[in-house]
Amino acid sequence: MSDEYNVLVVEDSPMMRQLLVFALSRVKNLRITEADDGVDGLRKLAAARFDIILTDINMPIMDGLKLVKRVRSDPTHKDTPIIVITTEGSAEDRQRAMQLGANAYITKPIQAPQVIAKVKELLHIEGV
Amino acid sequence: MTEKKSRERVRPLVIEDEGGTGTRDSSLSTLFRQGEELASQLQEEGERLRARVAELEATNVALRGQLAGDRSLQTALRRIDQLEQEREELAAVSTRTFALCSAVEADLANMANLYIAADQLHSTLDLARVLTHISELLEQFVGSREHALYYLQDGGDALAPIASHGVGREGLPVVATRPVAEPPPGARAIEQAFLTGAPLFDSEIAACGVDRPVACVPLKLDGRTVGVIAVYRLLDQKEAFTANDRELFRMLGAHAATAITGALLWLRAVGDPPHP
Repeated sequence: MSDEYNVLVVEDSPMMRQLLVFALSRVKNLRITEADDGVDGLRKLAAARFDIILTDINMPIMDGLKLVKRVRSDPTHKDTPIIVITTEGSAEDRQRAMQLGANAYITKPIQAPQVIAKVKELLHIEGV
Repeated sequence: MTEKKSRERVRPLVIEDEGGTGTRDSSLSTLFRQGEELASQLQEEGERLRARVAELEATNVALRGQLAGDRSLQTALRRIDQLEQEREELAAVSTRTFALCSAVEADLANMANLYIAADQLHSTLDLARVLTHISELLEQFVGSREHALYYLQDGGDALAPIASHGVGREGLPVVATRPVAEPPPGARAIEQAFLTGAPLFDSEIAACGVDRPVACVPLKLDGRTVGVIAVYRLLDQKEAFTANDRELFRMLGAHAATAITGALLWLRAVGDPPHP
């Protein structure tokens, strides 16, 4: 794997996207691409190869769970780590996301260090 | 070998002259022979002792070397102790540095939250978007599940909910801006936050709801309170307010009023702002 990682952030809220992008910008060698919703996310996934995906669950047009399902059936990205972000903290929601193929689950309010740690863990990045 | 044993090895010299000159010559001959033997024995003994001395000297040198080695070992052990102490001190410094880095990272994240919140609040003059941004800020940064935004009505005698999240706006009370004897449930804390200009927090989060707000934050414009944020319920995973939450509330109290008032004035003066 190259030293630079492509990250896709799928989030309909500009504020949340800004927050996630800021958090991820703290990690070296990440190239971040933003998508407004699930459909936009699929469009971006078709155009490039990504090393990790962060997606909100509650989004218009196509929600995060449907996106996870579609990504897992895509030969190019079927093994790409996915982090699901949502306001819901219940065990059922977590289980549903993980059953569909998500690798990790972060509940809001998100903390930048938590996002950074999870991304680094899934990309096997050490250090700052 | 001891001195006594050395004497035993050398046979004693005996002179025998009991029968006259002939006997004396014979005795002298015997004496010389015995003397030669004695000299030979002494020489052997001397050589043996020199060898022993050499042996002891060699042992001494070896022991001195060993002693010197022991000293080096002791020096090395002392150095190891010093290094161990230095290692422990460095480990303590490392722990403190790591904690400091974590704290700085947390502060940086909180500052980023404040920056993003302010940036988003003032990014539009569209009232609906301003209200959406405030709601998202409360949800994302504070962990609010249910909340409402109260704003001063024309005439200034009441606060009315202009936006809500998680609760129906129609079920929320209008709050008088003057103290009333029996305000509707949930209105007292909003009223107090408005009249005093100071935020109110309820520590019994689990007991809170629409009738008992968990937080009431006054919205201020040029020092004058023009509205109140009422938080009724928090997300399940949010168990208490932190110092950072209070800082965000303080920032929201200062910036949300400006953003709402600016959007309202724009709406009244121009109508809907142009969309790109």
